[in-house]
Amino acid sequence: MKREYEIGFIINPETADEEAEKIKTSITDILTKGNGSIENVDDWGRKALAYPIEKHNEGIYVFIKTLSPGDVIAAVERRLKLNEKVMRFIVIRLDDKLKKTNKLEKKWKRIERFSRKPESDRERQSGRPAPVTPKPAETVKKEAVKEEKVETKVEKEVVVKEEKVETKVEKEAVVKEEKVETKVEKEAEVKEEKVETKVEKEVVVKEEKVETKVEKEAVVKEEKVETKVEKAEKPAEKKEAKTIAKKTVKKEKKVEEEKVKEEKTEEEKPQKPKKAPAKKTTTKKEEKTEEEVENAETK
Amino acid sequence: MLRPNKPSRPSRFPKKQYFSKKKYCSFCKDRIRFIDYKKSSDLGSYILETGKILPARVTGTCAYHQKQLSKAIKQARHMALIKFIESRRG
Repeated sequence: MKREYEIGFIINPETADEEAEKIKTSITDILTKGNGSIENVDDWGRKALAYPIEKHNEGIYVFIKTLSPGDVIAAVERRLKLNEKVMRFIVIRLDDKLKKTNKLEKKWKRIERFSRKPESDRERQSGRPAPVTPKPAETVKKEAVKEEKVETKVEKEVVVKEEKVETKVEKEAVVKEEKVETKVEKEAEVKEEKVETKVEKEVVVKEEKVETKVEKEAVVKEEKVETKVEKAEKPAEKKEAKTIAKKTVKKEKKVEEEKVKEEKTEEEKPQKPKKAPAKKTTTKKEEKTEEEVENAETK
Repeated sequence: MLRPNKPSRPSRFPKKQYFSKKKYCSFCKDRIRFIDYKKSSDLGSYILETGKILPARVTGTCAYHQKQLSKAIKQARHMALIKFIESRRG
């Protein structure tokens, strides 16, 4: 019956390397002759000893692993004992240790069953909440900030949009009507009636100026609806009334619009600068009209 | 003899409670099947500076591995890989 053994021995350092190899080969020969097989041979060479043996601080270490019957191992031990150049030797059976490992594996399996759960619990207790708890605190703060920002933005946007929508609607409704009407009227009719309209305008304006402005404002509001209705219905027929109404209405609207625009420009410019030039154009046009009116007044 | 459950008196000299990490067998953790005496560097952590073998209650090794360890240390001592006694004075 073959068993696994490990034979280790220390050779006297004073011996030559050839003699040391002879000792090694003699032992391997005994093993091979006795139906044994050599699995591994470890030559450490000369190595310092942990403590002096036979007044030597060095030794030649050799380890041989074999699969061989016990009788041969006894012969090897005898040979090692008798050899004077071998300072120490040791023979270990690895077989029984490997047998016991089966018991160890069973034990490890048992340990795994018990140890896995607490480890996972520890990870849950120590690992998981730690990353979870700090993140939400930051995220919540960020979210809160974001929400605040969003709320503020929404409020601003809502307010601005409402203002914009109102103003735009007013502007667009008023300005477009005015523009269309004025342009159409001007383009269509001004060429023929330039002189007449100018004269009429001047006359009318002067008369109105002489009258108090309070009356204008009071009257014009009433006139607006009337004039608008009239404009929509009969733009061409009542030129004088329209021109008067337009001018009066324009003045008031300009004032209102300018105020609104000033407010808008302050609010909207940073957020939406694209709309500013469009308004500027309208304002410029209106300014031009104002200038014209002023010129007409001066004349 | 075990006493019945009496309300325990607060002792005059209460036991001091020490908390430490739970010990475990490092050989079982690494799944080492048998301890090799040739690897003296691994055995070094289970020996005192003077060369004494540390008890299992200190290191926390299991009984199986402690048995192997003590054997391996003795074998390593025999093969002059570890010193028997290391004098403290050096």
